[in-house]
Amino acid sequence: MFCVRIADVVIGIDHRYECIREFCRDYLAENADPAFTVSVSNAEIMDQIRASDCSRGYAESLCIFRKICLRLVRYDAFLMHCAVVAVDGTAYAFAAPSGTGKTTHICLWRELLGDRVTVVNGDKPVLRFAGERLMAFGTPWQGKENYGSNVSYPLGGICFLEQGTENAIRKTDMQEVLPRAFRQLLLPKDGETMDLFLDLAERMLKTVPCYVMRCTISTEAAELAYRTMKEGLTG
Amino acid sequence: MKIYRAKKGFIIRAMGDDHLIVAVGEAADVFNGFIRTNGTGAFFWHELEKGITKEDLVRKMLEKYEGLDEEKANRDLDEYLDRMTVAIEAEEYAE
Repeated sequence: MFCVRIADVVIGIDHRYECIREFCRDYLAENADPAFTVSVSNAEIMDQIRASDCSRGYAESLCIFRKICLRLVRYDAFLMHCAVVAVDGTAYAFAAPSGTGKTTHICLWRELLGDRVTVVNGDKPVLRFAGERLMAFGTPWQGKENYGSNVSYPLGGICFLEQGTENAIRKTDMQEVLPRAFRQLLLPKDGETMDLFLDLAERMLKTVPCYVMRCTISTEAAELAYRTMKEGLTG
Repeated sequence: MKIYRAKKGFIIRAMGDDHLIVAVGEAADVFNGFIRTNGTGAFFWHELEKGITKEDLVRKMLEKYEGLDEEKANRDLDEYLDRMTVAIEAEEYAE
């Protein structure tokens, strides 16, 4: 058993395979009391292996993360499958079905803005409300390219990406964005957590500006996204 | 006659101007997602939570929505029940 600090919550991980400790190295919390502890059974690990055809250690790590994210709902935090970058102290999230080009798009931000860009997490950040502000936090689970760092920034916008032959971005409303957002969220399975979770999701969609962007693979796309989302901060 | 009923574990929650039907507990093992519906759909759902025949539900629709004709009410309801297949069950009963 060891502890990590994710989204400012200390979490105990009662593990079976040692590789998860190394995996979480940037998030270890020494001498801290965990708010809660998670563990997974052998049966859960075997189910995960059947679902994602991976090693036992990796399967355990995926199960652990899912459990952590579901428990975090009680701390006003949840997982959204997306890529998050930060520029000048503000985080911007890009969400899309796998394979659409989230990672490609955040690489274009780096190309455009260089060192001003910090990748918070390339795949599985945790979002947590701190008062009225939704913060994006890095996690050890960073997707196959392993982009990310143990940092947090207030989330200034969420952009739902679609592939296109030209670049066009528009601000959207909760009505339109609801199904897109829900496809990227990990839904709880127990009723009480579900109620808390739906409140958080609604607060996110009401308070964070959302956009839909059709884009090409180009720095022009990154420039358009950055400019529009930055302007949206003051709007 | 058939009584239509919301399956155990399916719940409805308001979200903005919409309503979402989601699964919790054992139902979440077979359905991982959500069904989005409007105010009318939520009205149907609350009747389905109690269990109701199609005929009674059509009657309630006609009471609630003035000017709605029976044929359209039937059509809308069929469409709704079709869309909700995963979340509702029908049970035969003898009159």
